[in-house]
Amino acid sequence: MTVAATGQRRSGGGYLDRPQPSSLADVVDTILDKGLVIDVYVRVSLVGIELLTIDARIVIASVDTYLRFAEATNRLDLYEQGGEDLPGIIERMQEGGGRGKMRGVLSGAKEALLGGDDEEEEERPRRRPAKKAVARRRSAE
Amino acid sequence: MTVTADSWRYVYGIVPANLELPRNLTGLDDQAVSLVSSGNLAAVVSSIGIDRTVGRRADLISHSRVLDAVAAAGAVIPCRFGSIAESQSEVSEQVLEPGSERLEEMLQDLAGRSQFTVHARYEESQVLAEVVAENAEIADLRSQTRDQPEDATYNARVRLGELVMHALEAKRATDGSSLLDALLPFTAGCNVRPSAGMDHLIDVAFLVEDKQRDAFEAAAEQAAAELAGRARVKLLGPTAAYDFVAAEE
Repeated sequence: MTVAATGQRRSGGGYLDRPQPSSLADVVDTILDKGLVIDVYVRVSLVGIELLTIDARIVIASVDTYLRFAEATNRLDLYEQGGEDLPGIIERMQEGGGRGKMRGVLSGAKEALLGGDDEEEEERPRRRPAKKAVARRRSAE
Repeated sequence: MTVTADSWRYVYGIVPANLELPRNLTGLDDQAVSLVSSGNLAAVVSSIGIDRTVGRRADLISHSRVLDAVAAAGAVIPCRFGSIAESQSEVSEQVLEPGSERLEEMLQDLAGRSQFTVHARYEESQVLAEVVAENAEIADLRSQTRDQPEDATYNARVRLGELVMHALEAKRATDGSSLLDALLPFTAGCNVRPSAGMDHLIDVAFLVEDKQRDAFEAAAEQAAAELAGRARVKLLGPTAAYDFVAAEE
C-alpha cells in the first residue's frame, strides 16, 4: 500500500490545499454528524466550540436571499474603476487583487469557530457557545 | 487511569478482530487505546471517567486522530462522536453482537479503501464578475441599481438577485460535474454532501482504493489547477470512511 508522506504539504502544482494535520474546523461537522450510531449513551456537551447555527444547507429562494445576492453583485468593483475592461479586471482578480473583503461576506456557510491557536485565515463573526448535553440511550433498530 | 472495572469505555469505531492497532495509540484524556473483541469483530475503545461528558476541542481532536490512525492500519467503521459504553460487556453485547453480520459486511466493503473529502469554494468576487460579464440582463440591472437609493430600486434588485442566484446555480452544476467527472474514475464511490452559501462549489466525500490513491491525488491536483483563480480546492484525507457507514434503514 502506498502511503502519502505526512507533514506540511502542498501539491506540486501549488493549487490543491492539503492541510496536514487537518484543523478542527475541517473535521468537526464530519465527526458530529457522520459515523455509525451505536446503541450506547451519547454524552456530548460542546464546550468552547462555537458553531454558526445558520443552517446554510438550504438557500431559500426568498426575496431576502435575492437582495443579498444583488448587494454582493453591486459591491463588486468592475469597470467603473479606472476604465479597465472586464476581461482585464477578471485577469487582475485571478492574480490576487480584490480578494479578502468580499470573501465570505454573504457565504453563510455553516462553519466552526475555534480557539485562537488554530490557523484561521479569515474573520468569522462570533456566536455564543453551543451547549448541548445529550444523554440518552439510542434504541437498536 | 488504567482500564478498570469502574471506568467507562469511549468507543471510537469497529474493526476486524484481527486488526493490529498502531502501537502506543492514545485517545481522549491521553488514555491508551485498545480493542474489545467479540467473534470476528472488535471495538476500538479507551477508558473514560464515569459520567464524563465529552465535547472539548481536545476530545474532538482525539476522536478524529484515533480514527485516522486506525484507518491507516485497516478497515474501521467510525462511530459518531461521543459514544460511551458503561462496561466491557456492554461493548460486546450492545455494540458488536447485534447485527454483527451486517458490521462484518461493511468492514469487507471498506477493506483496502480510505475516504478523501473535497471541499471546493468559489472566489466570490471572481465568480460574481463572471456572472455579470456573461449575462447582459444582469449587467444592465447592476448598472441600474448600483449607488441608487434602495427604495427606488427594490424590484430591480430583487430581479437582479434572482438572476444572479440562478446563474451561480448553473455554474455550480457545471463546475461540480466537471470535478466529479475528473475524480470519479479513480474512486469506488462518492457522497455529495448538501451545502449552500454563495461561494459554495461542492463538498464531496470519495471512497478510494489504496492502489488508486496516487492517481486520485494527481487528478485532484489537476482539478484544483483547472479551477485556479476561480475556486479554491481543499482535500482532506486519508481518513476513516465517515460518509460510507450510514446506519441501516
